[in-house]
Amino acid sequence: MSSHWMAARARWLSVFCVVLLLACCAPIIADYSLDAYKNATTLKAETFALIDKSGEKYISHKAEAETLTTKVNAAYEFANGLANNSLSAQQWQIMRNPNGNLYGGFIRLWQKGPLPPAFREDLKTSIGRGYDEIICLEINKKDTQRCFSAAAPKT
Amino acid sequence: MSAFDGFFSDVVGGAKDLARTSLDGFVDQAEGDSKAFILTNKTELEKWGKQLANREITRDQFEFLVMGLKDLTEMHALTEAGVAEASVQRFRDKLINLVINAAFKNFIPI
Repeated sequence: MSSHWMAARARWLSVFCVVLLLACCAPIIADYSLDAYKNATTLKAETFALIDKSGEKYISHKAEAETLTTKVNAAYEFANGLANNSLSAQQWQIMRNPNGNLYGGFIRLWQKGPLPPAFREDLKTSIGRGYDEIICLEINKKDTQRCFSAAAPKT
Repeated sequence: MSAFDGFFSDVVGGAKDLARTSLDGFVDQAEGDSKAFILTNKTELEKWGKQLANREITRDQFEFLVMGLKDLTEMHALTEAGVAEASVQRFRDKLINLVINAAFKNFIPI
């Protein structure tokens, strides 16, 4: 085989590889973010701690509630600021929505009056499942893995 | 076998294995998590119904929780969409590596 033919083939192969690599470089979804993972796990724990206090009047814990709401809003802004991360950002938007029925809705209800024990536990399960969805999506950006079990739902 | 036949055979054979490992894992994950999601909803609904009947929670609180399931369903759909995208991205990246390696192996033998 002539060296001219080999050189032509090598050039063709180089172009082929560059085209493939360029196609590869356009990400479909954001990479796993340790900061995003920590946001969700930490805020889940802090939300549970706040729900535990919601048997008392909101006004007694207004500063704590506002601080936590600011952190949840910051988590949304962080997720929304990452490229190709609209799915995670939408999840945070649902979580924080004051007219919704997860974290934002919990604050809205608490402002109307103290919440009874059974409802507080139900809220922890419900809002905890919301955080688990955010956590599940984040860890699956790294590697495919099951997140939930019907027998023992994560709360 | 020509260089192109070798290249084609390597890519097709490798892609089958890649699809099996990358995409089957996603299907199992999605199926398992979605079943768990639906079963958990059922369990929660039954529990809330009993709490409402026992007056441990009010009707408004019951409705709030049920509406929360709508939010959770939306979040779960977003999770599954994201898991699918991540799986496809991993499959695509591995496939491109496979094609490049097969090309070098078959077209420029060392």
